[in-house]
Amino acid sequence: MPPSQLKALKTRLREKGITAPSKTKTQRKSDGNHVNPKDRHTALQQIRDDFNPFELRHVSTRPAKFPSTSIYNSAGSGKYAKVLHRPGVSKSAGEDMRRQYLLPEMRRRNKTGGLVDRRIGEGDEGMTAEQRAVMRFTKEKEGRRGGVFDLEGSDDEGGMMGLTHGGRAIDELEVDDMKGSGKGSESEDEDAGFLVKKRRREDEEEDDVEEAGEGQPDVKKSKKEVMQEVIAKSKLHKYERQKVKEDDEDLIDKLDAGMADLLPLLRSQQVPPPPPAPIEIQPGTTANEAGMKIDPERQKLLDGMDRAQADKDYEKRLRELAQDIRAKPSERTKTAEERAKEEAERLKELEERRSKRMIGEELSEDEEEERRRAVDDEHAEDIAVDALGNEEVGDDAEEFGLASAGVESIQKTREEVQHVDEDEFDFDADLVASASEAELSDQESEADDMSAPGEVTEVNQEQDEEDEFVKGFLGGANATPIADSSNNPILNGNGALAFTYPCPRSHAELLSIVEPLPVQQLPTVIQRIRALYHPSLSAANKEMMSDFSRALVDHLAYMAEHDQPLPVIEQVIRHLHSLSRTYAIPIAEAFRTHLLAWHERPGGEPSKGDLVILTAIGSIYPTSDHFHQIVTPATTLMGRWLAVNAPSPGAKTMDERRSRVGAFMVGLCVRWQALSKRLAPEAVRFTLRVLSTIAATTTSSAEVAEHLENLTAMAELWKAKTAFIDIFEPFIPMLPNLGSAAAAASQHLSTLLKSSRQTRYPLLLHNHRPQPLRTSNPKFEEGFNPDKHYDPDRERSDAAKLRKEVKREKKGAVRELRKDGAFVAREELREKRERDADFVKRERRLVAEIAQEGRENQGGGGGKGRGKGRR
Amino acid sequence: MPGIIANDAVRKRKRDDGPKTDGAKPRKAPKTTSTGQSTRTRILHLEEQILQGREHYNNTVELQSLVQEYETKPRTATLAAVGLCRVFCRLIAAEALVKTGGATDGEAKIAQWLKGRLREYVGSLLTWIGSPEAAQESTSLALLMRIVKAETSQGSKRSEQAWRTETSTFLKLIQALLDRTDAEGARQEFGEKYADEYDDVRFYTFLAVKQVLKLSSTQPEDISGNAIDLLSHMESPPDSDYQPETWYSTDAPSAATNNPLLSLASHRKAAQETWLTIFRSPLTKENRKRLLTLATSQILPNFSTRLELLADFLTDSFNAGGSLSLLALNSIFHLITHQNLDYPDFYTKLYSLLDEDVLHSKHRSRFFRLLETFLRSEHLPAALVASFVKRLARLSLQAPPGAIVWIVPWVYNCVKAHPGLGFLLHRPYHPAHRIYSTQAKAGSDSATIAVKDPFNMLEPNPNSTGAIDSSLWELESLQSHYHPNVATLARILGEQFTKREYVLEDFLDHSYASLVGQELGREVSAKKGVEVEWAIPKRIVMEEVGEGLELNGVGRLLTGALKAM
Repeated sequence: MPPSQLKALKTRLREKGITAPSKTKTQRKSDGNHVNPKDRHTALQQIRDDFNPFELRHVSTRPAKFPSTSIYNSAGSGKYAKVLHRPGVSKSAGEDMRRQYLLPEMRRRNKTGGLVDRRIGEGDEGMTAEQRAVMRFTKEKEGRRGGVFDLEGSDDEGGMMGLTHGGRAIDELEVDDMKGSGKGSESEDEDAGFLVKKRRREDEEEDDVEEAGEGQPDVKKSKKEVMQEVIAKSKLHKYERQKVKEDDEDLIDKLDAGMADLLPLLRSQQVPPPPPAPIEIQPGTTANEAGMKIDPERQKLLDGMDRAQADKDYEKRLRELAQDIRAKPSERTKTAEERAKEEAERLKELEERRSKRMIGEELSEDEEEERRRAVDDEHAEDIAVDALGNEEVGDDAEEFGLASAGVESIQKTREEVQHVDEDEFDFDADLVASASEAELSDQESEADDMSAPGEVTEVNQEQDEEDEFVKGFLGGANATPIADSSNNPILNGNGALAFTYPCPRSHAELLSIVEPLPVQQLPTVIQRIRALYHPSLSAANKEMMSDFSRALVDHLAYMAEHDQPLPVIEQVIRHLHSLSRTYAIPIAEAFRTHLLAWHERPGGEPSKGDLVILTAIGSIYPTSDHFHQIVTPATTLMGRWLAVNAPSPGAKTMDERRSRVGAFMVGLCVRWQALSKRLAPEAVRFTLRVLSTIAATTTSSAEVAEHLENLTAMAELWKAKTAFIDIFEPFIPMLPNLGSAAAAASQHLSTLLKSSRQTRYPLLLHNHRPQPLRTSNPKFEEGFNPDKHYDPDRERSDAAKLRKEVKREKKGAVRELRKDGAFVAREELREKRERDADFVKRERRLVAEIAQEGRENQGGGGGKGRGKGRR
Repeated sequence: MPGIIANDAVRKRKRDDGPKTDGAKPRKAPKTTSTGQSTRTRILHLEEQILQGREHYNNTVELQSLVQEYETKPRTATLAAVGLCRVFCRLIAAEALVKTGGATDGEAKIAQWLKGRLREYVGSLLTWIGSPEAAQESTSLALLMRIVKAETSQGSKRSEQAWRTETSTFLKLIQALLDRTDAEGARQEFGEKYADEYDDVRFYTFLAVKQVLKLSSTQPEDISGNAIDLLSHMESPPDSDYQPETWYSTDAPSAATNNPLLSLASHRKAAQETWLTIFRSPLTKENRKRLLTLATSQILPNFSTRLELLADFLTDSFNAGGSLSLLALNSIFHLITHQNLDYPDFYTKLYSLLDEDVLHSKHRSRFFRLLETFLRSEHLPAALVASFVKRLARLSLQAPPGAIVWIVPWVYNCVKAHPGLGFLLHRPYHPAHRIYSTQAKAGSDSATIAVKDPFNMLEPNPNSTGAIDSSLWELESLQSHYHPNVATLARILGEQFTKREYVLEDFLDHSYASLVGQELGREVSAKKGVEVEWAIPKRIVMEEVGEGLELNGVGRLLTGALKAM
């Protein structure tokens, strides 16, 4: 059986040392350390709590939410853990507050007008008249003490002086007003549990802290006191800082003083005399004194040059001196091995770039941006479209650049494939953005990596070009072989050549220069022009050279039209190639102009010039690129010509022109694809048709060899294609009809066909990882918290939050109103009871009095005596 | 219509001048300085006189002579023709050209003589049709139709005659329209302004065309060509609930129940007869093509009863091969779907149309559109669709990019619609697959044995080509097509099939011109720059052989081409 409550209380009190057995005086003295009143207070509180378990309550009625799913909110952990509430305390606080505010209001109900007595302590029942008087007196004193001219008070209160109204500081007034009107704000301060707060949990925590602090009887400082303390502290700090600074300065001064002695030691060498002001120097003496050669400028100065001019010159010199290239460690001469290694690395990098372009991967940063925007747009479009019921509004073909072609098409497609089925609901802007950003950043870093080699190659290229240029200028290796081969002594030619020319800026101008000269001199002329107008010589040269390069492209076509020798044309192409490193865009535009002219020519027949232009394109530009601004249209144009001009199956004769031009184009196609090995269906078709026509007519002509050569080249090029058999099998039956010339080709082809048959397997294009079904909401969250809302729709989640808040507020308000109502009813009841009791008392008294009087009247004298007796 | 405007102007002036002819002329006389003006007044004067009494009928001869002088004085001739037209219209309305019962001998003679003049006049107007001058042609057409109107507006019996008899102006006009090959303008105008507007003109035109075609013996091909041209400008009677109600002749046809003009059925029948006549007449290839292009829109609606004849015609055309078959396809399909025509081996024939020329022909997009329609049904056997897919894939190895660009998304759609075709793109090893089982002889359990393509390109029946057991190596190879866009597009067959369907219409109209023009039409962007080959080759068209220089492969081809040009 547990001990009784009283006993337990006593033991506890004793344990805590609150009720010790009374000690003697000596004991008390020797003890010395009294129980601290604060400790005592807390101890008492603790005991009280222990003995009244219902005064304390763990957190509210809120149960732990989904304890099985959440690691945060199981009972007694997480946010709601260990928060103790004192319902009794908060209830009584609420009661007090109501009494304070609601009660007067209630009393003043149905009353209008009246006088509000604002005198201190008026209406306060807990104050005696003396207390009131004391309060008023002190207050009055305080008000006076802060006078403007009060010298004594100015020290600490100087900063507090401010505007007044009616003899009171504005601040004070405001506080008063606030107190008068702001019931709510004060109540918040006073009682956290009373009014429902928006952010309940935080308040609860605060509450908790406050309650914890409640145990300590801290003497709260007024604001003013705090301010003063702060000011004093800062003043102290300031003073300290100043002091340190002064000390430092003193120290420095001391050091400086010693410097004069130290300086001569430091400058052990002779001290150059400070540069004497020029004007002070006397001409004769200086020259003699210096006894050395005089700078001519200086001499000029001495001879009476303007001083301002001299100053200017001096400054100029100084600046030049500053900008002078200082000696640098010269680059170590590299060993042959190192050079070879570097060269190899450079080649490797170039090759890497090329192969990337071939796959169509390379994207510069700008394109990246563009693509990103495009992708975003596409997303937006997709979503918009899909929201409207999965309708395809956009142009499907456009995605592949068929309506507006672009390099980005692959990337686009990839994106497209990924996001095509997204509907509005799935779409989470943040998620997608972050994902694509991640991807992009990857690519960007790649691009960054790429850019470095790019710079390197550029530098290298420039060097190369410089070499080439120098060679050209010296009339080096390039020029001589032509002269030799054409057996045209270059000396003779040179005799007629001028060394300077006006820079030709159009083809007509170029013609006027070149026309009178023998054709073989053209490369020399170009070299000289390039040397004369090298962009490093003048800023204007750059523009001139770009015009010149355009003219050169035109001249290329012109030369072909006029049947000028191929070796010269070749040299011009090489010049153009080297020029296009610097003037890539003008030359590219010139080439494209020629292609466009061919494209728009009725019938689409190429001119001789176009054939040479095609040759030049194949040499100047990387034909293996996935997309190239010049190569791609050129290939397409060749494809078109081949498709249109393939002889019809029943053709009896073969037009020689068609056959030769076709052979050339097929040859070019094959050579252009040497690295990338792309398929050109038109070339196959053309060759097939031509060969079958020739086979049918059995007039084996000279050009059959060309076509057979092309056929072999194509077969060799595309032997790895899975459709190799399907492409080349139709050739087999016609080859025997072509006579002995075709025997080798036939042999070759059948060998390749055989090996291709042995290596062909059914396609396995769809070894994709199975795609999971798209789920976005609800998404699986790691560490799911049921209290958190994962609704990706921002608006909806915000609305839900707001609704919840409103509901909570409403509940709180209803509860408060109910409590208010109960309070009012209680008060009314109390008053009524009082009134009733009063009434009853009075009534009783009256009745008694009346009875008394009656009795007196009745009883006569006897009654008097009693009455007297009572008095 | 300058002719008509002139006509109106003249008429107006005439009306003004009518009451006071003598007074007006002197007033105008001072103003007329040119001879043209004087002849104009002369013509007007002559015209006035004719209308005043029969003693002036001889003026028609003079006017007629003016009309015939068109080559020298076109304006005068036009004026005279307009004047004569007015005269004859009035005379016809006044019944001066018919022998009435109580007419005297003289009157009959006069009527006979006037008829002769009218015929002469019409004859000279008919010569104007087919002239290179549009104004002249159109004037004559307008005048002739005016006379037709006058002739057909004189009582039901006579107007019936005027529409139908061989000597009537209307028939002569139709005859002229069909005879002259170069009268396209007149035919078009006739079709649009008269035959389309007026139900009776259309009805009788059909009859007249049929009549003319039957009568004509010389150069029947030209005539039938012209007939097709004429009829192509006429819209067919539209809906089945359409009621003919616009008449050219002023007196509406009697409301008798058996009047053929009033029922749509008889209109249709007339049209159908005419078309059948045209089908029977000898046709050049060009005409056949025209007919086939018209077939769905204009001919088919008119055929209600004798569909088999039309079907025969279409079948003949379909069997003719080439572009004719392409054109016939549409109508046949229409008949199959709408008229319940039983067409055996339609898909076999369709399959036989797939040769490489189709992909290069100018009707490519039309054909593709139809092909997509025919093969869209998901109830078709997968083997059949596979044959089409495989065959087109094979053909695309020699096709222009414009065709490949359509074929690839189409194949995608087909695979989506027939999941069985997925094996064409992805066929993991399994002994049950025919492609593997036929190769069972060596290392039967290994998945790495090479296979033979079971597809037989020469098999005409699409149900038994073996395509369903094959693989689309062709399209896989096209993933490395030289044109970047085509290559990219071909890659969709290797990606995951997440898109439901491609809208093929977007891929139809691509050609070399659009591909090149689109790229070249753009500026070279300075930002992207142009990639340049980094190595400058020492030799491009030449090569060093020993000491000297010789042409290399490119150089030889280039010189060959340059020489041949």
